[in-house]
Amino acid sequence: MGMQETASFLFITKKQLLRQRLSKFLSENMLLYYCNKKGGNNMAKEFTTTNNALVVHLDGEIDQYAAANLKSKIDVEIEMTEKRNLIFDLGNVTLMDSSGIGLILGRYKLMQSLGGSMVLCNASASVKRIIELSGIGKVIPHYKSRDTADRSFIESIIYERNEQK
Amino acid sequence: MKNYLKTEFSAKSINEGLARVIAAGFIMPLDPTIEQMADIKTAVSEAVTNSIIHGYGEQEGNVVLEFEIINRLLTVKVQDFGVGIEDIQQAREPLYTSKPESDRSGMGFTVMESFMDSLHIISEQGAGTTVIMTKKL
Repeated sequence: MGMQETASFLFITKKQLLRQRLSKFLSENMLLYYCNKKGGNNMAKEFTTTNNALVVHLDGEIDQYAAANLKSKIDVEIEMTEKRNLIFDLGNVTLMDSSGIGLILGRYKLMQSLGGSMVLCNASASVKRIIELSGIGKVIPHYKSRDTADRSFIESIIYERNEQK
Repeated sequence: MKNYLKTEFSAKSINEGLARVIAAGFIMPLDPTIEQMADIKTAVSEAVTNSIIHGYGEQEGNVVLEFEIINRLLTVKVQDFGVGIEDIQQAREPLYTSKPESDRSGMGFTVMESFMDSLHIISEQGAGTTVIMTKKL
């Protein structure tokens, strides 16, 4: 390493440091953006947690293309989380076809096999119609908000306890 | 009013969104309700998905999508040249799926039937399937 290079390495200015951090931040976030794009969804946050559950935030049009991309992503997240319950937040879903129903049904079966449960929330009128038509509404409850969906898990535990008494 | 559109695209999942956009664009001049728009887009999505997933599967091929409107009666035709349906009666049954292992709900034809006014399926094994749906707007 030459004398000059050593010097510039040692005396890196504050401005340069900021620029480095900024470019690192941008490259990381561009990668995140690209990953989300590839998944067919442009959501900023796909997964969050509440007191009782892992929340999957679905976005846009859930068709066969989107469902196929989301399936493995969601299953990995279910495997990694310590939460026993799952909430599908459909608040930003503009259209869902039977492939979306298949996606929900598949995750419901997975949660059951893990001894957990699953609920839906925030579906629009048109999304609710297909949920009801498919019959999954009878086995997977739907709530008007994420909060009530989250509380339903505690209530079902209390209910179970009362039943046992 | 009379109008007609014919389009052909590769049987790839990524084109399902394109098919819905074409459907929406074609019916837009008729000033449909939000519900009618959602119904038609969903039904088109179902038919096109069937052609891609079941008609062609891993094979390559094209899907032909046709729209016709005569006096506010919309006719949608979705045609593939894939494997065809062995038993149409069985395929139309709610919850029946030929691919239960891959998270299919078996609700495709039921959705088309419920969201449109009529559904007609013509299929020949090895030659392909044509789905014709109508809806009064």
